[in-house]
Amino acid sequence: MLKRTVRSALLGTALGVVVVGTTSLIATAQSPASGVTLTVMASQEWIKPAEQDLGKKFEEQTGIHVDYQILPADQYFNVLKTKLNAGEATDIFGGQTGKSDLKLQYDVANNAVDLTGEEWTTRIDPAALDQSSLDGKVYGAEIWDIIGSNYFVTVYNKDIFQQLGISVPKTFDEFAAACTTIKAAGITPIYEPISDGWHQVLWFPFAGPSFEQAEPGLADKLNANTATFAGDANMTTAMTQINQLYQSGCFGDNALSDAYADTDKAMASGKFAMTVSPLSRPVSIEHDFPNVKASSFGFFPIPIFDNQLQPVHPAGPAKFIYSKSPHVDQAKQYLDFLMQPDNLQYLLDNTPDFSTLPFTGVKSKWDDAQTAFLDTYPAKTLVYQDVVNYLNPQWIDLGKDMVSMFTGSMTPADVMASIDQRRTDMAKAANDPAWP
Amino acid sequence: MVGQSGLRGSISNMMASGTALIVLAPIFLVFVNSLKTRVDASSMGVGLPTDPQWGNFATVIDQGNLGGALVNSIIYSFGATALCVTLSALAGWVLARNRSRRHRMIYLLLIMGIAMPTNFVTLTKVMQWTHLINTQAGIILLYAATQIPFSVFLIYAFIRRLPRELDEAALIDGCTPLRVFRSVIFPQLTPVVATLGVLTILNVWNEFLLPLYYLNRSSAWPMTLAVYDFYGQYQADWGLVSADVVLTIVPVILIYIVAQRWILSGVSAGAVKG
Amino acid sequence: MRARAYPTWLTFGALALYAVFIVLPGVLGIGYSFTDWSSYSNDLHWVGLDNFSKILSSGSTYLRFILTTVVFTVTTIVFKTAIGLALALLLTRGVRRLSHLYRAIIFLPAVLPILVISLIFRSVLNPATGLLNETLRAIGLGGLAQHWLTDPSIALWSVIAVDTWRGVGYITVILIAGLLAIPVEYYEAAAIDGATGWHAFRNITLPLLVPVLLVTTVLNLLYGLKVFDIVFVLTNGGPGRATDTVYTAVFDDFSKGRYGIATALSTLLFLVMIVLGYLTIRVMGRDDEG
Repeated sequence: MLKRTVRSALLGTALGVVVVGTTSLIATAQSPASGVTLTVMASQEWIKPAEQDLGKKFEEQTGIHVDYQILPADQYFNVLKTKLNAGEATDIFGGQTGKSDLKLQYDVANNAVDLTGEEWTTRIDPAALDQSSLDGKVYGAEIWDIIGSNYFVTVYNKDIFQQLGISVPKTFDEFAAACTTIKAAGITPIYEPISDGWHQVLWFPFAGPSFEQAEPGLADKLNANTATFAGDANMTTAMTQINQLYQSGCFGDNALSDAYADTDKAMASGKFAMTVSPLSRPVSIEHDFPNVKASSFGFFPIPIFDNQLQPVHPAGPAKFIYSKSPHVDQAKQYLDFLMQPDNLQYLLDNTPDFSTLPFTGVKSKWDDAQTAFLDTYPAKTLVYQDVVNYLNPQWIDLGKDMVSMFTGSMTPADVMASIDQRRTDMAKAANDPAWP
Repeated sequence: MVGQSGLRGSISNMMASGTALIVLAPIFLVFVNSLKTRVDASSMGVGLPTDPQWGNFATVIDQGNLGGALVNSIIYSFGATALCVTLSALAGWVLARNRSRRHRMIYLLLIMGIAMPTNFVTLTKVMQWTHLINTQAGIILLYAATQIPFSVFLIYAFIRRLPRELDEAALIDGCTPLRVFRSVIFPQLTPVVATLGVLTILNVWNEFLLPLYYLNRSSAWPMTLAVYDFYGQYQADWGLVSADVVLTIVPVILIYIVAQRWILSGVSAGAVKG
Repeated sequence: MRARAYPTWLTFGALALYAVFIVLPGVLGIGYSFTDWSSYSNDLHWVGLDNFSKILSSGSTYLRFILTTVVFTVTTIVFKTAIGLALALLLTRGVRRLSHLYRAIIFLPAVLPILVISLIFRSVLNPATGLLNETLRAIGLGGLAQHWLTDPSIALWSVIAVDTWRGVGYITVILIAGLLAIPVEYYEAAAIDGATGWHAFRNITLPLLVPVLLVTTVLNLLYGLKVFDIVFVLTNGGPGRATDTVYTAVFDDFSKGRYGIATALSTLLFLVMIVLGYLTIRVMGRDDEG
């Protein structure tokens, strides 16, 4: 009896699978009007919902269907590199710009289509264009808010500062003193989400302009391998200062478990006075917590090593066209479409975490506090991970080392030495002439 | 030691219930948060939702293309399982009944697969060489292959417990080996086949790495990948994420409940010699 | 007669799939352990045992990962076996009604996707807002609240605990079958002689459970050595590198483009597992008839 039931169950399932399978294969085989599907591969968060709306519009206009494939961030680069090496990448793939990345991660010379001379290259911010270029050729289209989303600054709660009579710190010592005052009042001075692995690293390279100011030409020396991180007293001091912030409890008890995605909630709760975040943070806070006004927050540059300079950080996620794609023309069409002025404006208006886009003619969404900051601290120097080679690719490792430093198993000097070791490994692997 | 009653029984019951609660609590968390707004869900707390967002499910189904993804998950799981279980049963039976030197080596070779590490780069090359890359048929074959070592292992162990007499009687009657398998052996393998079937379906259902590498159209993706649409490094809507997770694990839980009787008898049977 | 009755060709279906999709890429992959394969250059050079010596030389960070993996494996074997046995006894001797339901519930975590486990436990174990610490504080045991996943001295233990939560059901179910297979007569005979309770357990139950315990031990062993998912999603090897295991190191090296070293590491582990796998087969196949 059971045998018969099982047998009929199995037959039924098999039949069901066949039926379902056939119908679904028929369903998915419905081709788009023009017969072309453009595949776009990106990491979590690089494709905003507004862009997907634009993708639908694009399909209406041209009949080309855009297939967005969003991959988990941890796996993204492994999958991308494997696919690039095997010749299997999608028509358009996403990637971080920056010369090290372009060369070492994506080998753009072989894998990406040369986009020099495209119409939109005349309208995009030159710094962003430069980050997407290698050896004079443009490869990437960086449609990203490189100011609002990329300018990491210290966002502070004005009310708390006012209550405790603290003025905006201009040196590291003033900053540390402010932390002590805030801590004594029972508020955690800084919300520092370390659990994601990348945030704590920001403190260091964003002080880059000050390193450069103290030692002009340092970045070039680092790239020519005539200077090292461990051998540089200033940078080691900076790392020691960051460690001091952790050890003195400025980040609170829970920093190692705090998550970046909870920043809005943390700052809105009033339990934290400051955090390192993009300029768009207060707007995002008000968006989720309408009774906490964006105007109650202010900004100042990250004060490590007495830094008073806001670095420019033009590198960010960009789109590259795969050189072996059978649909290069359609891909270019899609990029052109995305970067048409109205569409750029649409993307900007409908993406809460964007405040501007690096194209001429785009109307930004800055509020007064942000405008004041941008005027007071005009950004000229590049942030260190964009100028110094082999720094950006080791971001997560540096993050892990910093956690080791915080928890006592490494010293700041150890961390600096570790940076140099990894730079050497990467440089040698890339046959960099500066490392014999 | 038959039935416990009285104090000892109640303590045992309490301990069992306590354990069950510890096990179920985390799962309860996901269900409860799937109905919360983004702000409420961000703490993933146990409180009941104050304003149930049934719309979360609609959003998730639409944005994540879960309808199509569900169909894909079903096709891949059931297809790969049917293939794997059939081939493994045939192989396991032959290897268990006829333990010649050659067969012993084949068996060990197959079992080694349980420990073999997956190298995505060389696997990509193989998928390209067989022209199976980026095809649904290809991934079903691949899934089936990954489940074969353990399947053969389990079936082999179980077959050794089946009496040979039935086989031999059928053979003497002049049946071909395939016929013997179909009419005599396979019917007796019900508990193991059911177990293996369900475990294999579940393993394939939860797989997400192989589709990432070997399916280059999101319309061919199974349910496990949709969740990455809803959270990122910087922003997360845990309400939507929880809703997606609920929709992904409900079929899993259903399959598991329906078949748990067979699982529990089959798993143990493979491990214990009676 | 036997060869004709159970012909080898019936294995070819499984063998073919297995050979093409598992053996071929696996062997090719192992071959790469002896080269300087990396993502930075398209050239490939034979380096012999270079990668292996880098891994096994004293002072290499890999040794630490191997140690962590061993600690993880040994402790999960002990915990899962001990707790599994306790639960198995509970569900065969202690609880009668609903035992099927309890068994089903305890097995449930093993079938959940790893992403779900990650989301849930990262939230539950959050020191400030997580369910565990909040509960401890609510019942007055706030002093026991810890930084479960971020304190280097206890992070590994938290990961072990979550892994045990997840895997103990599987072991319990196997042990239950083992317990149920022991004939009742043995206990009755012993009871007549006056041996009950702990005595019966030690002299009847335990010895007769040995074959089953051996099986569960080896299953746990192979799983522990290969562990990746649960460590990766809970701590990503952190804090710092306190919970990095062999496989998280393999993944990390792959991600950094150091393919040669990564495959060497996974090959090393594979060899260890083959040896242990072979032992399993010998053990489980020990008392089989021809």
